[in-house]
Amino acid sequence: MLKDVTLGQFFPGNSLLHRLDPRIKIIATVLLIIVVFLAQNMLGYGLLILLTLLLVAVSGIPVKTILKSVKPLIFIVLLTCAMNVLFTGGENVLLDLRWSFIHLKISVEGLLGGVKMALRILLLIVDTGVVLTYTTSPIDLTDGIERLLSPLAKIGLPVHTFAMMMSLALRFVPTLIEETDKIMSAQKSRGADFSSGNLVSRVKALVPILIPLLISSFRRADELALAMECRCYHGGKGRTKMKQLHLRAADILFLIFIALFIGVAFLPGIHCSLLGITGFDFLF
Amino acid sequence: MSEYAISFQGVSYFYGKGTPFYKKALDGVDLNIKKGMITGIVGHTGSGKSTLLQMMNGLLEPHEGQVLLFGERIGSKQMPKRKAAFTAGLVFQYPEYQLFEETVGKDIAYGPKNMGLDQGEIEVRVREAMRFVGLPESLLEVSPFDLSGGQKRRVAIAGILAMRPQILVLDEPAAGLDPKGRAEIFGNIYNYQKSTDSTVIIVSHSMDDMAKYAKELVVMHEGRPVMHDLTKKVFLQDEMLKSIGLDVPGITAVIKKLKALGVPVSEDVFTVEEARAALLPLLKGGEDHA
Repeated sequence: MLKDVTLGQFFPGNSLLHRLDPRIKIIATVLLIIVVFLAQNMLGYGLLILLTLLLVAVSGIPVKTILKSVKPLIFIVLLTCAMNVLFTGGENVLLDLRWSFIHLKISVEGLLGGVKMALRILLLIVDTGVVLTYTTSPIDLTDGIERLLSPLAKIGLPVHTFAMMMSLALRFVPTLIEETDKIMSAQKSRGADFSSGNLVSRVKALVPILIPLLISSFRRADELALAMECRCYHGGKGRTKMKQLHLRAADILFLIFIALFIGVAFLPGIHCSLLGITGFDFLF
Repeated sequence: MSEYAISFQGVSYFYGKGTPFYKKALDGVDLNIKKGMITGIVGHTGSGKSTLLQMMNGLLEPHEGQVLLFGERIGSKQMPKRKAAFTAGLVFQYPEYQLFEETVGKDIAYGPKNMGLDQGEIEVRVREAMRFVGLPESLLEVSPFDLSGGQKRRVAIAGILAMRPQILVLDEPAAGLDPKGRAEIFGNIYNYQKSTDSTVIIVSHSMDDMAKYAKELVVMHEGRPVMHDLTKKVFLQDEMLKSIGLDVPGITAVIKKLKALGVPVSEDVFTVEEARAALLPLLKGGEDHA
């Protein structure tokens, strides 16, 4: 059921990753995202996969939970992969088929491109999950974002508002999922059928879920705004934090470790091109 | 046909297996709920009541054991899940949040429509269901979102009644209503049960309401039914109830205090009406002596 969608949900624990400063984890995640897109060769991907496995092991989050978080996105992964395989031209053609006006051409480059793209998305999901969303409570997360962005407040950007919006959005993801689950159960009790029939009837079957969900979201937003005003919330000015963030040695070490790993992971790609090694391009 | 409306046989259910959120919601439940009466289910928050309810109409499948409706296992050929949903109509807590149609009539018709009934039959059932919950027919074409909270609740309950379920299951049907609304909703349910002779199961926190309307009472504690007897008999065991954090009806507590003070009154008084019947003669007797 929907409750199994774990993407973006905090998973309480006490691992090294859980205890790190959220600012460090955000920076590390951004670095990892950049690197996942920069990685060019199979060696780079191999190292990134290794790093990801290591992070998963350290985080103490069950592999099953992580696999479940990937599951809802598997369609996008496969689609992107297929697009790359089908539409990337290349010299080393593996398969060349023509029926009337359909021209199917699969090259080694396309195949590798597809695999790389799929790997990229999977690494992105797992890395951000393990380093950030699973191991950082939403409060820590927005605290970290707010602190990291605080220089921008000086030039007049509403950093606090942004952080508050983020934390509220994150806070309500599980609530919304729970609510959807409840409404689905209720409509199923009235004989709603979400899993059979053609596309049109399936989309129609969603109306009894979406309308109550929309109405309850508005109601929730209204109540929340009222509750915040009742507690004299008036934005970021002069607001102090109950929990101050402090960088510790472990935080710095973690960041250095990630940076080092990243250096190793994609420098070889640059070396290859700098040294002018050719002929094995399709491998890298 | 079995003599029981619903039978739980060794039913267990877990939440979040293998995660820090792991919780055993039901723990080897054996429970038989009789036909043709109102059975109440009480228990603390987290005692497994809601899980139990969602198993009665096949929404949740037991991880161990089986659930039978009228002797047929849910999920078997005789009682597929969809049939189970129509056999045991489940009204969730705050059901008014599931309303979605443009008019009251259409919303109540959603269930019967899903059953594949024809238009004429649906209309008959919608009107009948509205009568049961005390909604005037003038509301048929009104948007459910323009109604008051109590009326929305009635529309939602009518939406289940319109499926003519043999078993009606309600989770806190009067939650959040004022005393008058409470009494009306419970009164409607009571009369519905009487006139259709169907099986009704009510989950409630209100011992007063249970004393008034439920013939039998099931007490849930930590995923197990710890008591299941006539409501009166359950309320006589007030020590046991207190030990699991529940209470007897307010009026019963008052009568017990009176008895402790030396007033010669019987202990099995559970509703205000019964208390009146038990106390008035005493008062009159007192006057005679004076």
